Amino acid sequence: MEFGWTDEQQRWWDDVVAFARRELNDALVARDRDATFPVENWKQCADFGIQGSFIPEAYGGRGLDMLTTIHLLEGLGYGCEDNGLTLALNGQMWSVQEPLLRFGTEAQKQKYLTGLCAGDMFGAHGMTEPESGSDAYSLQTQAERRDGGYVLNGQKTLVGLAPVASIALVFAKTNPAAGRWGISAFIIEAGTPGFTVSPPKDKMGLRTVPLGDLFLEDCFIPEENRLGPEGAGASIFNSAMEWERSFIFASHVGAMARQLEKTIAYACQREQYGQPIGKFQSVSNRIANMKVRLETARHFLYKAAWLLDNDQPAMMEAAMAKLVLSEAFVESSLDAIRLHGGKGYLADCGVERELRDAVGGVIYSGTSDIQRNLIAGLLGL
Amino acid sequence: METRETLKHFIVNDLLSGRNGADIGYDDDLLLSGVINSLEVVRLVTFAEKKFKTRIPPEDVTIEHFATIDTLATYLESRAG
Repeated sequence: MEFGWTDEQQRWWDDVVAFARRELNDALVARDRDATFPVENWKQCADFGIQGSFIPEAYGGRGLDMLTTIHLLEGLGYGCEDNGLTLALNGQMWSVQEPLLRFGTEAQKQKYLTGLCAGDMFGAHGMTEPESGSDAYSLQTQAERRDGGYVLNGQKTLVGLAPVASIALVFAKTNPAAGRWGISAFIIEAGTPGFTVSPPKDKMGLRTVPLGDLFLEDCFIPEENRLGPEGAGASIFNSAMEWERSFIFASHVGAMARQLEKTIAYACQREQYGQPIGKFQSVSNRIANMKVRLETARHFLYKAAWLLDNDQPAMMEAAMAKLVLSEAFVESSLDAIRLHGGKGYLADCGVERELRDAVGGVIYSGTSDIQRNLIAGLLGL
Repeated sequence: METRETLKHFIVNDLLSGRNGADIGYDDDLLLSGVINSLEVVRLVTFAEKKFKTRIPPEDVTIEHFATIDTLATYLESRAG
């Protein structure tokens, strides 16, 4: 067991932190207030190699192993204070690019992965529907067989990057009588007749990533755009969730490290009753708790990366990682605000934005309660 | 028959813990009738991978291969062959 980073991994960290601080944090308070998606930053991230980090070079990526990729993404979150941007990047990488890489045909990989890695495309993942959230497989979107393909009808909601999507990975029933075993996955391109998207929805946090709906109305999708075998949609979705839940918080772990350093600096500088507030145990204990949460989160994240790097199942570890990391980010964000006092409540400080950004994490990609159900079910309960 | 018996023993004794009785036949439906749920399918995959020293790709976890003990055994034997 090796707990250290190699020189090459450390170089990725140093480079991405410097890049993110230099390029990705301009006018963030205004971007958050106005819910502006930083398209130019998206492209800069692609040029740096973020989207293509774990994708083989044959499809426009860097071909990094999973631990190096995770270290890179953690460094991105440490340097980049725009949690919406990092969430959008991670969402596309784990719920669109990874399934394309794993289940796509050679033609699909060449056609879509290269554009996604280059930052020329935005990929959305459509599973949730107005009437199906936690009970994901009760989805209503249908795909009827027609000559040479399928006709899709339905609606997907709460989809990250939906308003700007170049392609969407969408799940639909091809055999409704078979329930979850009759679901298939499809790649839908923007501009396909019958495929439309909603404007961005206003939301509490992660305001710089556009979130919206996908609408499918008699939308013909050729058979070559089905991802994986017919009826394998639920298994493809499960696999995608294993990766997404393992890693979607990688950058948020970096944000927690940044948040901790900022809070320590403030606790050392801010004086009350004639001494730095960090000297008071009620303050220092909270900071100690933040540190423990950060290191716990890192262990869960790296374990999942090691397992998936070694082609081992990680559904249990993915659920635990998602549960621990998302809850830790909320708790530590709240502690950071308490420790910054009234200053932390103001938008300019940035600490309050982090709390708003953190709350979504206990909901998306399966709520904390769903993660507990998964863990319990896998334990045979 | 060894593969079928091994799968049946795991399903009856570990997954179901006697929940549906011990009378699951080799060609009884496991999925559509709800005998095993989706997480139990995951546990079945993990068990089969370890026991039969194979890797079951997610895209193969379909009703075609997992509908019954018979279909799963046939699938696993085809991978071993």
